[in-house]
Amino acid sequence: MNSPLAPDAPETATKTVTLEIDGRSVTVPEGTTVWEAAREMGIEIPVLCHDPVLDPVGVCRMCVVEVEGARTLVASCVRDCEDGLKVKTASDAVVRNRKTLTELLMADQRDTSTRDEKTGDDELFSLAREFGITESRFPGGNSRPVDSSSPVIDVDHQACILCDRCIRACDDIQSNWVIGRTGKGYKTRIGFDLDNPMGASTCVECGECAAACPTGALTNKPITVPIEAKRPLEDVDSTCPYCGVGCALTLKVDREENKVVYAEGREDSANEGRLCVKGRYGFDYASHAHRLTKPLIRKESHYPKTTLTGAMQRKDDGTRKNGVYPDYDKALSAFREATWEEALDLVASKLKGIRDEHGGGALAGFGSAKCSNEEAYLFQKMVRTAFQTNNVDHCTRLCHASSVAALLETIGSGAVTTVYADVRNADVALLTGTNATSNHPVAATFFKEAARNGTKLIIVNPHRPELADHGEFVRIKPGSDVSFYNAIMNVILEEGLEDTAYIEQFTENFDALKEVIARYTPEVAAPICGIEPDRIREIARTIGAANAMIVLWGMGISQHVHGTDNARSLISLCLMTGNVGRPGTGLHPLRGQNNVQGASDAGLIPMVFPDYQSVADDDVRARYEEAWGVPLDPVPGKTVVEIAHGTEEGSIKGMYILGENPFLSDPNVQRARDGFMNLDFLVVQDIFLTETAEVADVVLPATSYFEKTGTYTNTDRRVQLGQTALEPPGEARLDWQILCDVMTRMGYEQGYADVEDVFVEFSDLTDSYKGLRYRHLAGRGKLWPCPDPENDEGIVVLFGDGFPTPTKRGKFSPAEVIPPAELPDAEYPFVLNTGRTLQHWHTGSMTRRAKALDEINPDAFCEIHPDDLATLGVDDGGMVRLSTRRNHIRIKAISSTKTSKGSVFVPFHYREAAANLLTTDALDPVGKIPSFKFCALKVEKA
Amino acid sequence: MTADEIRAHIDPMRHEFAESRSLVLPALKFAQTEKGHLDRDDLAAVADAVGLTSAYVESVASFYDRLYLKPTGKRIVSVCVTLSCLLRGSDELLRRIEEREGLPHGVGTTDDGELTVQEAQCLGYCDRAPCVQVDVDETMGPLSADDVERLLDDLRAGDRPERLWR
Repeated sequence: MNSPLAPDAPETATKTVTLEIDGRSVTVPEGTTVWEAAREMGIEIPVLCHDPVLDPVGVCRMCVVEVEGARTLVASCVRDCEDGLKVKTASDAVVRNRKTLTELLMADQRDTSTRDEKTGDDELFSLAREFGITESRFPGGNSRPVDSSSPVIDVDHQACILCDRCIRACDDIQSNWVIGRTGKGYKTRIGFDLDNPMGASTCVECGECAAACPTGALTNKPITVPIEAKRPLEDVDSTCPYCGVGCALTLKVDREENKVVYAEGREDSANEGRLCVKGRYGFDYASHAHRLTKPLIRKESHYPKTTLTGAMQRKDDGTRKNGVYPDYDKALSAFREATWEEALDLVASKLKGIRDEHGGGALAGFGSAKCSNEEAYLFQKMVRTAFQTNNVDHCTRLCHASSVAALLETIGSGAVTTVYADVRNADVALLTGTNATSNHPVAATFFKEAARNGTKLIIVNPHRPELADHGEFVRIKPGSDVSFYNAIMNVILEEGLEDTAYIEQFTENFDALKEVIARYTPEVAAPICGIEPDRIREIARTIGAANAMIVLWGMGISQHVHGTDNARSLISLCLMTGNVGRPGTGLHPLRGQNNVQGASDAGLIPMVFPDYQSVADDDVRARYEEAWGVPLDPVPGKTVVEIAHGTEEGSIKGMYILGENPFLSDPNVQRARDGFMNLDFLVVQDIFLTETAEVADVVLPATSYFEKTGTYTNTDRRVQLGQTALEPPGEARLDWQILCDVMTRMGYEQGYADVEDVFVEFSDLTDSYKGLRYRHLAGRGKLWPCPDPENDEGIVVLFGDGFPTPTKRGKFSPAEVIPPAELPDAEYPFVLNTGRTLQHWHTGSMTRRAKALDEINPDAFCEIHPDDLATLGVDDGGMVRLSTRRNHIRIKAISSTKTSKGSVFVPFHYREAAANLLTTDALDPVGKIPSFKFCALKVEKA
Repeated sequence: MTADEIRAHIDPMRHEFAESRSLVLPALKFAQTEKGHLDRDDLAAVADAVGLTSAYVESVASFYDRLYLKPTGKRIVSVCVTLSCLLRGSDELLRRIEEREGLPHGVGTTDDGELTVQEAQCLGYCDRAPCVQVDVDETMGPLSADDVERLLDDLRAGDRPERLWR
């Protein structure tokens, strides 16, 4: 292990320079530009091509200033301050120059600006107004075209002033590299890829270019109501409802229409203002006509329950008919509308009846990682107190349960040890089992940026992710992770690259690890993982020599029957090389849902109360019994798949499902569906009539993300505040209030004054949230633990001085190779891998009702290697029948070398071709997570 | 042209350049030698071979006059129109080409697709103005309008070069 570079180098004082701007003296650090220095002094120098988040290029010349002694006016955005410089920012010459420049630029503009009409912030038109330019003396009209091919962005090349802001936003901020300049001279304009229409380019619709554009050249298309500057819009600071990155954004809300009109990233945030296509353009599901507005009770005539309403209806050209569920009205017709009183009474009496007759263990609840900390806390409180059982779980079980199990076992904490942006300080980043550009798109921009700045990315995955373009891609065989990492560790030990001092000081059980991995030489691992021994050695040396390595992983690690072992291997690798507890090092399981970290923290887990306190521990239980005032069940509850199996065998008779959709998301979903159909009573609280809600007895209309206030904890452990932007539709009710109503009716009275009251109770009971209040959570939010929320952001890098284990040491937990639950054979020769796409979220309840997202990604598809397609005699885009031992689906096949030969990748968003009909419900024995990433599959031409 | 062919051409010169960006022009010029112009596949192949984005490669290709994004004739005739040549009658040469080949302003690709005529900025033959360059091989001058007619006849009758360096 190399020693850190000059660890004891004294901090050198920053050099400063002193200059004079507009007659005032100013001292700034060396390297400050004149534009920045002026800004510090409160002097705004107008600028078009520059934005503080971009590297300055000095092409527009609007920011010119007069520098005494200089031959010409200089562009202040690229001119560094120097000692003794005398600058005039608004002399007559400067103003005359700017005015003429504005007039020249205006010559090519249309009479009005699209940006001004939409959002009222065209920077060029604003300068023209300031200089009183109503018409230009210069010949104009570049007759450059418009391009409306993108579903989310209008391109008007005529309004483009070639400032390059979009190019730098695309290249330097999002690292997508789609935009360039095409042509030369007067005809020059921006071009996408090979000068394609924007909609036919590799653009991923993140919208960063439209956010950066100063004119009407790139503007957002309307998603809900027209974007019009004349509409009075209200800014609501909130966060994104989709993934675990939890991007902070500002919603622009039309109160009168009760709609979000558009969204912008917040600069003062951990995501630094960046958003992806879902965050920027996927908010409109909240206003969809399918929203539930009244409580629903199943009609007597609709018993016994039948299965889901029909398949998707299609137009003659094969495209989907508008809307997601063609038979939505038919599905709704199984229910009658009811009052809240009636519905809540029915829910409470039915659940109470089952509880009193069969015991609390006959009830179960699925909460959701889409809900806030407050809702998650109340939901588990409801199940534990009113239902009197610990049968409460949520989608973390299907997500990172194995990672958390491994982390708790080894280092005593299930959360990340550092933030995703710490990749900037790493010299090696190991990204494994993650397709971050699709699933954590904004975090991925930080990874790509780090790669550009010299961090070596090692991407280990069976399916080739886009990130592979930015680092070294290691395509291991599906399900072979443990062998690969054991071999890496074998080489590290063999070649003495481990950090002995760290192992000595901070770890235990190292001998047991050594004993196991001694057997996994690269030669032993190579045939299992498919990587040549010498390549394994090379990678091990890169990792061993790294000063700081960070490991980030996703579902490709966790969703296996050996998911816990996979995570243990990564943890051992970090402990062995001393890569925890310093900047640029650490373990970061990239959390999937916006609040999966928080929902777990809040105790939406069958074995633990909030803060991971074991329900089986008498002292812990006594504490919660005192806090909640009722006796609590000492027996850990059942997990997601165990509950589904319980419904099948009849031990679970009643269920409450909040915001989850197991009818599409559970593994071997037909079996799960059959089980849920078997329930005596099912209540679903959701915003749409989801597939699961279709078979409910009572459906309670909930509020969407945009209609409520609450806290959400992102993948970084960052607690942020989501704020109310919209009024709930119809009689839809705040989720926390619904839960309180049910609890009260079940005899467990709740009397919170408001939602923050719930947060206070939760944070008071939860050490890692202790002291946090809503007032602390503006801006960047707070990372837990946060000992001083008034003054500090919270602890970024954890465990620099030991771990929260009884011995304060991290424990090596060696893992042996175990095979996947179901290996390919002659009848089912392929390997099925499931996952997500950039535009869709999980079971699609939200995103398939989001106009832009649905338009970009309308149809179910799978990815198959071109060689396999050729063997099958199927054309690219042709239909295939995929079958496993459990079920089959018919789906469009896309030819792709992202997937390796013999593997098929199926996104699980699509109701009409539900990937989870195929998956196996075999579980990891420790994390109880299903093997979504591996089962045997047959592929036929359909 | 395939990315592999382009790679085979540029690999031996990689060491001459500090940055891969510097290989874009040699790669584009070589990719053009097959058909005499660059189509989208060629640009994508160059991007692949050089390891840069297609947007970047397109930016370069669409900037330079001697990189052609539309089909050209088998030979390209460049008529210098900078000061010396203009004063010595290059406009006369272009007028003759316009009359004879029916090309507006004497510029464009002939109907039979054999020849492409373009204006060029200073070719460095001011002492022999007006001058004309054929592809990149040969610059000649001073030329009269009759000389140019003969030149076009000769080029039309001549073979198509194996590689079209322009």
